[in-house]
Amino acid sequence: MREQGFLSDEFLRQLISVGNVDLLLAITSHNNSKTIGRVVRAVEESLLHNFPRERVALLNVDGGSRDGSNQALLEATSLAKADFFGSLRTLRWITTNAGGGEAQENKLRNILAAADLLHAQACAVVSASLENPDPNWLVSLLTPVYRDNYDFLSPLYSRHKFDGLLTRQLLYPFGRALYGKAMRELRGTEFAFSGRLATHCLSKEGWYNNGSEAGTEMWMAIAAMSGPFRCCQIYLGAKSQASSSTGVVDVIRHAVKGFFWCLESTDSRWLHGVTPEPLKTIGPDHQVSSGSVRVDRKKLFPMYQNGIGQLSQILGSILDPDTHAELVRLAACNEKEFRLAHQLWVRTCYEFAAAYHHSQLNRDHLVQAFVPIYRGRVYSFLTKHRSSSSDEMEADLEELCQEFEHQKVFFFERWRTKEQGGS
Amino acid sequence: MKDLVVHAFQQAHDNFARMLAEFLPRILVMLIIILVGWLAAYLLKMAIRGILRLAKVEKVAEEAGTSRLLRKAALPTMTELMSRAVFWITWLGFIIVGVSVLQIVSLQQQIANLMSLLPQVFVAFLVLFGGMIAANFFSRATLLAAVNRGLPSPKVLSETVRIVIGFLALSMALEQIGLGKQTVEIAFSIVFGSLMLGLAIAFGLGGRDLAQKALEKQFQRKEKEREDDLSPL
Repeated sequence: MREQGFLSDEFLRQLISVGNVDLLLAITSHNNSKTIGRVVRAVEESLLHNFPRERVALLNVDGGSRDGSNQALLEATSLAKADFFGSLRTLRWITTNAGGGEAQENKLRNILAAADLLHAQACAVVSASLENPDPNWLVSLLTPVYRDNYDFLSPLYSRHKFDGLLTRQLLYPFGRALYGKAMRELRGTEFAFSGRLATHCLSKEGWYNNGSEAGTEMWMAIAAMSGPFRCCQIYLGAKSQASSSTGVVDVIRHAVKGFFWCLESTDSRWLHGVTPEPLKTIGPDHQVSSGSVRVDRKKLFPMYQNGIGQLSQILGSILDPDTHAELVRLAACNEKEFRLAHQLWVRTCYEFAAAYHHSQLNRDHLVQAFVPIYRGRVYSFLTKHRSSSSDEMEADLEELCQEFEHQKVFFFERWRTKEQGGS
Repeated sequence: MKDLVVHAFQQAHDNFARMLAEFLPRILVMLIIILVGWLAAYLLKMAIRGILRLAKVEKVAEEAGTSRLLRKAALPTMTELMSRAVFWITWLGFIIVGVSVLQIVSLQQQIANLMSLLPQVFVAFLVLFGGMIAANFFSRATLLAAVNRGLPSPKVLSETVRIVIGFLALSMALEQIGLGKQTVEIAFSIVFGSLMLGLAIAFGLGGRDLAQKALEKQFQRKEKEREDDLSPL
C-alpha cells in the first residue's frame, strides 16, 4: 500500500473506520443538488437488493459544491436508512471534498486511493448528474468486475445519431486503431474497475496533473487497454444527464489534448503495432435514436471556411503541405458539395497528434487550431447522414475505423520522426 | 646645423625604438589574451551548445513559438543563437581586457564607457526578446480564440495584441538603455491611453445595448449558451 499523502486526515479516518470491503461505490458530484438524491436512492436500493451479503462502502467525492449538494446527499441517505431499516444492512457512507470543481482528476485520485486502502475487489463510479438513474445500471457495472474478474468495464449508451461525434469520429476509431480494442466510450461517466487496476493506476505518476485534461475516465480506460488488464463494455441504455454549459471549444481543448497526452504517455505500448483483439460486449454494441434535436448545421460550414482561412499560417506549420492544401481547397467549395472524406480526416487527425507529440506549436494552441477542422467534419457528417439509418451509420463508422487502421503506418512514421509543415 | 639634424633624427629613432620596445610586448600580450579568449569562448560555446541540446531547449522554443519567430527573421536556431551569444560576450570581454593592456588612456576611457553600458544593452535585448515571444504567443492565442468563437476581424484583434505588447516591450527596452526615457514613456501613455479611451467610447456609445447585455450576463450569471443540443462527447 502506498503512502497517500494527498488524502485529508478526516477522509483517512473514515476509510480506516470502514476496514476492508468487497465493493466500493463512488458517486462523483459537483453542484448536483437536484439530482444527487435520486442517484443515492437508486444506488442504495441496487446494493441492498443485489449485493446483500457483500461488504460495501459508498463514497461521495465532491468537487466543492456550493448549491447544497452535501445537504441533499445527507437527506437522501437518511431517507434511505428509514426505507431499508428492516434489511439489517448498514451501508457505510464516506464523504470527502476533493475540490477542483467539475474537474475529475482529484476525485478519481481519491476514489483510487480509497479502493486501494479498503482493498476493494470491485469499484464502480457513477456521476451524481444522472437525471434518471437506473438501479440496474449499478448491478450491470459491478457484476462483470466482481464476479467475472474483469479489470475495467466501460459503458455503452444509447445515443441520438448525431450525439457524441467527437467520440465516434475521433476518440473511438483512433483508440481502436492503436490499442486494438474496440472500446467505444472512452469518456463514460459511469464505469467500473478492479482493485488491481486501481492499485496500478495509483502507482502511475503524473496523470492527475497532465492527464487531467483528458478526463481521468479516458486516462483510466486507456491505461486498462494498454496494460495487461481484462476489459469489457456493457450496454446501459439511454443516458439522461443534466445539461452541461461546456462549449465545443472547451470540450475539444480538454478531450483532444488529453487524448493526445494519453497516446504520448503510452506510446511504448502501441508504437510497434498491436494485434487487434475482440472486446467482450455485454448487450448491443451500438444503438442510436433519431429523434429531433436542435443542431445549428448552417453555422458550421462558414466557421470551417473562416477558420481555415484565418489560421492558414498556423495550420501550415502543423500539417503536411498536401493535407493543408486539400483543406484549403475544400474551404473554397460550395456548401452543398463540401465533403470532408474519411481519408483526409484521418490524415489530419494523425498529423495533429504527431505535431502535438513533437510540440510543433504550443500544445494548447495546436488543439485549438483543430476546432475549425472538427466543425468541418461535423458539418460533412450531418449532411451525409441526414437521413441515414442506424445500420448505414454503423457501416460508415466501420469504414472510418478501417481508414484509421490503414493509415496507422504513416502515423507511426510521423510520430517517430519530426516533420515540419511546409508553408 | 647638420649635427643638430642628425641628433634630432637620432633622438627620434631612439624614442621610436624605446616606444617600440615598450609597446611590442604589450601588443604581444594583447594578442595572446585575445587568442586565449577566442579559445576559451569557443570551448564555452561548444559546452553551452551541448548543455542546451541536452536540456531540449529547442523543444521549449518550438512550443513557445520562438523558433518560428527566429526562422521568420532568418536567424539561427535558439540553441545556436544562445551559444553564439555566449561566445561573443566571452570573447568581447577578453578583447576589452587585451586592449586595456595597451594602456592608451583615451581608449581605456571609451572601453570603460562601453563596459558600463553593456549590462544595460544586454538586459534591453532580453526584454525585447521576451516581449517578442510574449507578443507572438498572445497574438496567436487571440487569433485562435477569436476564430473559434466566431468573432469579427480576428486578424485585426490578433495584430493589435501583437503591436501593443511589442510596443510595450520596445519602450521598456529603450528605457533600460536610457534612450529617450521621457519621450518613450509619454508616447506609450498617449498611445495606450487613447486606445483605451477610444475603446471605451466605442463600447459605451456605439454598443450601449451590447454593454448592457454583457453586464447583465456577467452579473446575473446566466448559463452559457451551447452551440446546439448535442454533446461532442
